[in-house]
Amino acid sequence: MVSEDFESRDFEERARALFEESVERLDARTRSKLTQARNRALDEVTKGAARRRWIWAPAGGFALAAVVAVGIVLSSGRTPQQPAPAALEDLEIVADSENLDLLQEQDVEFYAWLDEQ
Amino acid sequence: MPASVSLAAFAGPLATLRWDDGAQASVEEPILEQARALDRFLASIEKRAFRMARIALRHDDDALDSVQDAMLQLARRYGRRPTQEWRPLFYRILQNRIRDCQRRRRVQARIMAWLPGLKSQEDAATATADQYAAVPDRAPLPAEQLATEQALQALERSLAELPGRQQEAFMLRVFEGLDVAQTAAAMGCSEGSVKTHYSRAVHTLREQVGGAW
Repeated sequence: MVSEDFESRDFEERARALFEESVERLDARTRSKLTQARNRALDEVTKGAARRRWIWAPAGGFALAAVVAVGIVLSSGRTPQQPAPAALEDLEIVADSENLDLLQEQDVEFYAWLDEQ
Repeated sequence: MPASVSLAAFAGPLATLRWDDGAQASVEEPILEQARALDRFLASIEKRAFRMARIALRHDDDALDSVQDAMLQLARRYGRRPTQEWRPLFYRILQNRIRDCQRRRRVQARIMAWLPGLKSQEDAATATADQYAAVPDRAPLPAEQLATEQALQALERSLAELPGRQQEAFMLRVFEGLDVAQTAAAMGCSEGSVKTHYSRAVHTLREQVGGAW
């Protein structure tokens, strides 16, 4: 059993040594192709980072647009409420025909009296 | 006084410029560091990965394609994972690529068997493309190198004949030096299965090539 384990380890070491030697003897063309493949993979890292940045850009744009829209809605809701009572009062005075008639009659008499003086 | 005003006027944009550069650098620094780490990792394994793919596929270009695909997939999908996870992940992707390629070949072989006309055309095209590929190198090899070369060829032949899972287990454990847990992660199976595949592979290989060594 022990000798079998020893033989097995010996076999593995021999296999590993042969393999490492074959790796060291790789030809220049293959080495060059592997370097090119590695560079392509590294490009993917930087491109991926740029892509992730651009994926968040529309989301940021939408968030900004939503904030602006909410701001506009809130500000436009508040401003018409303040002048509303004054505008309604003015409208009531103008629409009241009795007051207008009275005012016109008073003015005519006043101007007639003034003319006599 | 005017001097201090002009200084302040220039100091503002300069300070802003410096802050922008610093912010950009701080954003890009982790990406550069990740790219450098990935470069070191891929450079450390690419040749062995190619040789393993070459043994499994027995074809240079297919082996190169598989390694390249595995590198791209690792960078694309797992580049942001901790570096200690890269090795099992890379070999898992590579083994999947190798299996895909072997499956594709089997399908092609089946189609070619049905279309003998196509097969003969393909053979003719291959023969025309590389007429001297099978011609042995005339330069004589030194005896020791020749013996090593023959031993390696015998090992590769026997490895190529092993069932796929045994082949993977042997190459990952012996050639790549992964432990049982890492090999299991790379092969996508249990540690018990790795031990079984590995011991069967060693037994078969020792029977076939052990005597020749």
